[in-house]
Amino acid sequence: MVPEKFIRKVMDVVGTDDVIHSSRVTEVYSTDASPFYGRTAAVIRPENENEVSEILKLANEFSVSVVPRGGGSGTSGGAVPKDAVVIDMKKMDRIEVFPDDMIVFVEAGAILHDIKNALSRYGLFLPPEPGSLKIATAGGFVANNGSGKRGLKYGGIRNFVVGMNVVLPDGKAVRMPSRTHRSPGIAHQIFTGSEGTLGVITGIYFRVIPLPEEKRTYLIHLKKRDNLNRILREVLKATPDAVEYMDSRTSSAIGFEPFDLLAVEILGKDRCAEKIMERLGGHVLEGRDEEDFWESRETLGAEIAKKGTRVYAGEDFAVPFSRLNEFIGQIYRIERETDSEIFIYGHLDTCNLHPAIVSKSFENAMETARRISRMALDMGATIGEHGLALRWEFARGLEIFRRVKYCLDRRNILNPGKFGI
Amino acid sequence: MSGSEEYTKSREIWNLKCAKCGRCIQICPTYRVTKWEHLSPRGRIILSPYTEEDAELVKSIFSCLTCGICEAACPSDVDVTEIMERTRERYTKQRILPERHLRLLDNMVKTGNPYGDEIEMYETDDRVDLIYYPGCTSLAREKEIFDSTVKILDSMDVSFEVEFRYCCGSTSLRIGGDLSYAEKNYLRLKDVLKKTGAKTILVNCPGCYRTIKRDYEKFGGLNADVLHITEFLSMNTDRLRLKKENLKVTFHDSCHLARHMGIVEEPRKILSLVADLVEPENSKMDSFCCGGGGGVRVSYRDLTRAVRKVRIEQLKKTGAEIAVTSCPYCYRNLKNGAEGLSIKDLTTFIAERLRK
Repeated sequence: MVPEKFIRKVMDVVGTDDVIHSSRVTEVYSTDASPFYGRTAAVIRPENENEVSEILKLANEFSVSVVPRGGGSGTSGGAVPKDAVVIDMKKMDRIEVFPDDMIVFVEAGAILHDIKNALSRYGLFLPPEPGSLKIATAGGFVANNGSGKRGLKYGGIRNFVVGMNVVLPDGKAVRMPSRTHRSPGIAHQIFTGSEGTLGVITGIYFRVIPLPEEKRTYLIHLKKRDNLNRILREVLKATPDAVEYMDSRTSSAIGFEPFDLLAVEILGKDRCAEKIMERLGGHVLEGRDEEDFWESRETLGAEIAKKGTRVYAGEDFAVPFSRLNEFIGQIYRIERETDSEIFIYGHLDTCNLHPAIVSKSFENAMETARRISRMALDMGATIGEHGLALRWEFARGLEIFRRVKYCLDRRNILNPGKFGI
Repeated sequence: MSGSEEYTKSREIWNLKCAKCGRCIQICPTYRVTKWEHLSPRGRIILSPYTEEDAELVKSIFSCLTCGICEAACPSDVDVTEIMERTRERYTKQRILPERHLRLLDNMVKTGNPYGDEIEMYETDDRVDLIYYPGCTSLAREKEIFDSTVKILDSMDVSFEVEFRYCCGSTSLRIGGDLSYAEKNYLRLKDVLKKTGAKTILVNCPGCYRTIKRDYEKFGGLNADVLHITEFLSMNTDRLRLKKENLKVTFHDSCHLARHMGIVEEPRKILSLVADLVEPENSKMDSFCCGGGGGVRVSYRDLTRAVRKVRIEQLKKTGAEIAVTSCPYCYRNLKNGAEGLSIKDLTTFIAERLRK
């Protein structure tokens, strides 16, 4: 429970219509797309940076924990509160494009798909794209340092964040605007990937690039998985824009022949890359066919849910390239032993795999997830792009994180319980 | 998953097939106008196992428009509408309802229809092939739909009789009321079909259409074809004598007619006979609710108005002079907030263009 006086004072800041407390409906804000559930003491919806600042000042005054929340599409429980108030950022969704600078400023609650549409009107785009494009907010994407496809050439979203507005845990608002494609210092990057533990991101400046005039996708069917590493190395020589992988079960789930599949995206005209693709027997997709393919790829994770009880758990692993085949083999072993069904797909340009677990029961799915996580740890794998939050067993350098956290949030107001802190 | 065990509990939600992916959230009309997650399908599914006296919880459950757009987007095939209706049944049994919903159910008890009015009754014993069942709204509130339908059928030399004594039960079913009203009308229609020998029941209202055609199956079904007026007219275009006009119109698909029952091409076929049709954003199976569905208009007018405003904007954006719908309830709701746009029910629109 949070003090009644805190709620009253928060209502003075944001109004009574944007606060919910003492109602069962707060349970909706106690979970996200992960299997985790916490407990929400109240939900508060600020409309601007000043309101966020006032809320955090009050949280300090009353020693109330605060968890920022975007679209609730995270799969590591980053937005899951533990007896905390939730700051729902979705009312802050302004998007402003500066086309001549190729910069977009977005408020934290802007939906990525809306940003994509706003940019395309100016012939611009933001390369990192998660499967949750239509759900996830910019704030959540940056707070998780998400990536999605196109990781090899462009990296994660961190590489596109050039400025940020943040409210620190004590309520101090800090603005770090940028209209340039390079920006010095580490200040704003501390918050990228901090999963709402160090400050509340209220606005982000992204650098963006022109939409390429041409693009195409090559599909390479792998008759034998043994060749995966060798072919992948060949593909990477072409420095493609994206390399997506689907195992045979996954590719057949979206209507392709039941073979492992590599989808290689090439933006712009690149004769050298085309030659390599032709040599590897890539089948080219263009126009509507290409759009259809990527649309089905975007909904893939969710499509798999049709097969049974889908639990978004233990499904994001960055794997050493040298152990790719072995990792896949081990997942199939666990699948057999746990009597579940696992669909493996992911971003192979960064060797980031998503084994999607479909099971007959929630308990069985969770047991399968635990076993995959243990196996991944043994193999030197870690979390790829979905955040550590409540899966901190994969965290590295926690001592540094603890010290940074202590500097910025001595009272542990923001998103406590994440990374085990 | 070490370190996170304490957060993980098996919840009833997993039995409802929902993976909590969130694909339903942004497209939900009530989420779109409020940005509250508990007023989205995922939120409602999470809350569906509870039955409690909590105003915000009751609002979450009873503000679902049952429009079904979330089901079209759901990769896990979660039957959101069905789950909402079953959840509402529990609330209704315990009389945990918004006040105006309670009044509506009381109206059903007192008058047999949701409006609480004495509605003109029609009955026939004559032998006839086609029974026209106009439904409550076309008789009690939007009489021009009834008059236009009769005018169209007469112009086509259709032999028919009008039948109306009871509400079809749709409103009660959609808000979690009991089956008795639907069953009462089912028995009535069964009797009428027997007496008249009719083989077809014609309806105006997509709510009646869904209830009589699909929900009455629970009672054993009716031994007759149930046709929506748009189906009937599209099957009989050769009997329609219409004036083609240089007119741009757009069409609003009712959720019940399109997503629930799959009727999308028929009204377009008819409209194309008299005007140039332009599609709005969100059309056919992807249609956007008018804001009046699922009983929401009864108790949550603010939501109805906000959703309706979005839909009206979409219809206006087409540049059409008239927006046509083929649902008396959508018609009634849209015209109340049309803001300068002309709204017509398809029957009225067609009746006005019959050649003399």
